[in-house]
Amino acid sequence: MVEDQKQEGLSLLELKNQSFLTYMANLVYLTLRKLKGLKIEKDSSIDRLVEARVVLERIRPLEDKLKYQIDKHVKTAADGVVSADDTLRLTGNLDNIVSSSDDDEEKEVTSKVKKTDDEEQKIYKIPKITQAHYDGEAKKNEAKEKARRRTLNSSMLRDALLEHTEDPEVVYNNDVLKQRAIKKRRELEVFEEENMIRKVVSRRDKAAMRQMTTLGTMGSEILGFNTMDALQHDYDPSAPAAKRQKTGKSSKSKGKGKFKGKKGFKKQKHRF
Amino acid sequence: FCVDPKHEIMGKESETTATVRTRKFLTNRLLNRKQMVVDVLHPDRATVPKSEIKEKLAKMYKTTGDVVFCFGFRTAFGGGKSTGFALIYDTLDYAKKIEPKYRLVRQGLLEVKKTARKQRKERKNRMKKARGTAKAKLAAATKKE
Repeated sequence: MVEDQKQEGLSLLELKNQSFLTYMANLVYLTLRKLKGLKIEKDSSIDRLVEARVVLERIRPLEDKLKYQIDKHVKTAADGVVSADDTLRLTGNLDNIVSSSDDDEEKEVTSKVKKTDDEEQKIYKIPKITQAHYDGEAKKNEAKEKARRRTLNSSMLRDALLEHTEDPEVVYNNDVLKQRAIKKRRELEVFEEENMIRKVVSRRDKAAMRQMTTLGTMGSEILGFNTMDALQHDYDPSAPAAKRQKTGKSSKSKGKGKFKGKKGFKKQKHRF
Repeated sequence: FCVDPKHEIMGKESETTATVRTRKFLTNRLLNRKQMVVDVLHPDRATVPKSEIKEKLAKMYKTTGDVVFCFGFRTAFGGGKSTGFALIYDTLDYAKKIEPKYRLVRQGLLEVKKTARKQRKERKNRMKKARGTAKAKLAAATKKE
């Protein structure tokens, strides 16, 4: 069986089969010996086992590369019919190639080609180099999750939750906004020194840089406000944030029974 | 009292001294020059003028002052320290070829002749009245008056 294929060389699958067989045979032999209580030290079958193992491991990556083809052929053999979407069947039809000796036809063809070329030039087509991964639905959910996580981890909520935990309060000294400003300035400095050039910073940017790094700024202690929208169930991150509607009567003017608002406060003071 | 080759202490011009230090020194073989970042420490003193820094750098690097070009000096907030850049060319020829014109003008190696602004504007207005070949004639006639 092996000899008649030797003209074209040894088939990979044949080699795999043979090495598997030797491996199994030798393994069984050693197991039998052990069951009988005999020693298997320095037995020649161990060498054969090792050799077969090495061959199999070397074949594995080659087989991985041929996997698709092998599977396809096996499937064809099993089904008995070539599958409909077999790409090998989609070869070009040689009869459809127009011969170049025919002049009239050529002109027609070239004019048609020109038209489509013009149209094609107008429409920008993305060059297909590699397949791009399309996220779609997963991205939306992820954005929602991300927004939720951001509000939960925000400093505002953290401060609010401090009163309910028993952990000791940790005060960090790193102010995010200040650090960002410092980092930006440092970046600019490095750029300028590397390229021996003074970058022109607009007045607004200059003012912003100066303001952020002064000792008096509160930075993210005061400025970090987050809305609670992301924690709602029906939150849609892509939809624009709804503006607070101005009601006709503000709640301050309603101070019936309870002492609310300016006048209410005064009344309260009076009581004492 | 030994002078550190990287420092040069200035004395006579003012009451307090100023120290010139160089950083990020790089020899640019492609442009035949040495480029560096210059730090000047000048407590109790206003920003040091470029000419002084030029002389000091020339002394430090053992060249003449005319191949040293310094620019971009910015004083840190609060005073006392300024940072800028300096280029030291191999020869004056290279300097003239490579440096941008405005820096050569600052150094005094190049002179740009410029007609007065008013003259240029008047000439432009005169040209507006002419058209075609007449305009070209007028341009030639009033050139550099």
